[in-house]
Amino acid sequence: MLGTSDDIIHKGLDKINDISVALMRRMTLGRYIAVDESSAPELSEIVTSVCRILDYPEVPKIYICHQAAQTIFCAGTDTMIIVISDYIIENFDMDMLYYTIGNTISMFKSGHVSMVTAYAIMPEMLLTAPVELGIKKYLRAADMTSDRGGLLACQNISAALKCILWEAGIPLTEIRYLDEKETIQLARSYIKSVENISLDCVTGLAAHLKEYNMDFMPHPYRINELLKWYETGYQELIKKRGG
Amino acid sequence: MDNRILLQEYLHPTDRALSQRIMEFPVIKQLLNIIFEKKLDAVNYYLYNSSCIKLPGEHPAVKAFQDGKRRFGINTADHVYVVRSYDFDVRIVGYTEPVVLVSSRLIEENDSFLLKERVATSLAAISAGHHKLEFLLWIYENFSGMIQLPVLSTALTGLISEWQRSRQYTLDRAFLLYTGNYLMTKKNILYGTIPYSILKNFNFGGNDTYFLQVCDFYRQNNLVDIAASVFSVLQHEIWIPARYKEIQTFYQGGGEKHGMDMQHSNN
Repeated sequence: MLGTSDDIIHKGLDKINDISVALMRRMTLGRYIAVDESSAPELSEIVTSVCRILDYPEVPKIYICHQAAQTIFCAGTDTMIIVISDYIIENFDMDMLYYTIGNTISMFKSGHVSMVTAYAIMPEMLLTAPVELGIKKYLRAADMTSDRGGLLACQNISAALKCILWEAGIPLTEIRYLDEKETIQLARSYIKSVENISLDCVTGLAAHLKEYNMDFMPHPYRINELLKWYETGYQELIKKRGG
Repeated sequence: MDNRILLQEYLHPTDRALSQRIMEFPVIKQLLNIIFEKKLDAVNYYLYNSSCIKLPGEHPAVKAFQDGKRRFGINTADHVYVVRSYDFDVRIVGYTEPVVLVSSRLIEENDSFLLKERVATSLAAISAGHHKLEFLLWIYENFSGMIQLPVLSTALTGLISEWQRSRQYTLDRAFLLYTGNYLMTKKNILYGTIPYSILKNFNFGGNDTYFLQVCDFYRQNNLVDIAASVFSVLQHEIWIPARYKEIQTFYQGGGEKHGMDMQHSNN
């Protein structure tokens, strides 16, 4: 009897999951517009190149949305798709697009997308809280992996840092024409400005709790980690692969 | 020659039915009383008049606006203002004295043909009374924390969401009747979601680039798909494939009658 009710519960949860995935697919088709090599040849070429560079076998389907807030996101469990905002298509330069798309493809490659999709449709309740916290911790670490993948795709640390700085809030007009040295300098001063904030015990604890509960890595940490890797692991990898 | 476009030619039946139903709710009448009592309509007019830049008479957007007023038979709305916005390109705001807002983004982009058409057909929204309901929603968004407003029931909120979808069908029809060009109308539906540099590569004739996505959207292979489409009705989105399908039905139902450009339908 227990086995039978277990089966029913599992089948029920599976059905709910299937409906959620179908709903997400329908919302994607309803809100965003699919493009391909004939309608967006440059963009398709970038996505194909990035998949080749990062050795990802399946080129995802590309959709475009209208927003300036979220730059690019991916979704799917069986068929991966990329949704790119029209804002970044119109405003990012080639290397920044390579970085952004590389960042996203890295998420596919590492299996982050399935996790993010599952997290997005997970019901919020006390029972799932420990699982949720675990996923958030994973997602924060996943951001670091994706940043590295983005850098490998564009091989331009300045472009990579500009994308993260833009996400953090700096207008493109302020950073678009900075060279590599200036970008790194700006990034380091941003990290330093955060490190120099001194908090009392209670506020510090609250800040740590808030950070722990975030499902993305805060921008200063991302920049710090990426710069560290750029100076060490990235250089070795590039030398090993012959540039 | 009188080439005026009459409201009954383009008003979508669902738009008409829903807006009538919504306006009959007692809570809406209460809200209207509050608006006029507290002169919130005048507040709205003052806000835009004092903070936005009025476009000069020679500007193409103003010329399009004048043409739209004539074609759709509008006596109100005297000026066109420009605002910086990423969320919309043309919007009508206000109740008794509607104001037309054009985003700087629409003007900056070199889509001169769409600029003219989009501004002109926005006047259809005034004719259909869309600005009135939109104004009521604007009041809730901006004043519900400051003054006591009557509560909207769940049923009414649902009707308003449904109306926000169907009003777009009315505007798409108005666009088709104004331009007489079915392909341009389909292009207009996608415009604003994708950059113009990509949109210009889309084919809207015989091998319609977007058509496959519309088919995909409506595909219901199994019970899971059917359940998903039922749940999607609860979303507030205006589905792009639904707009595409609606305008196709409208066009196929009466293209020649309205003197529309049938030549471009089989590209």
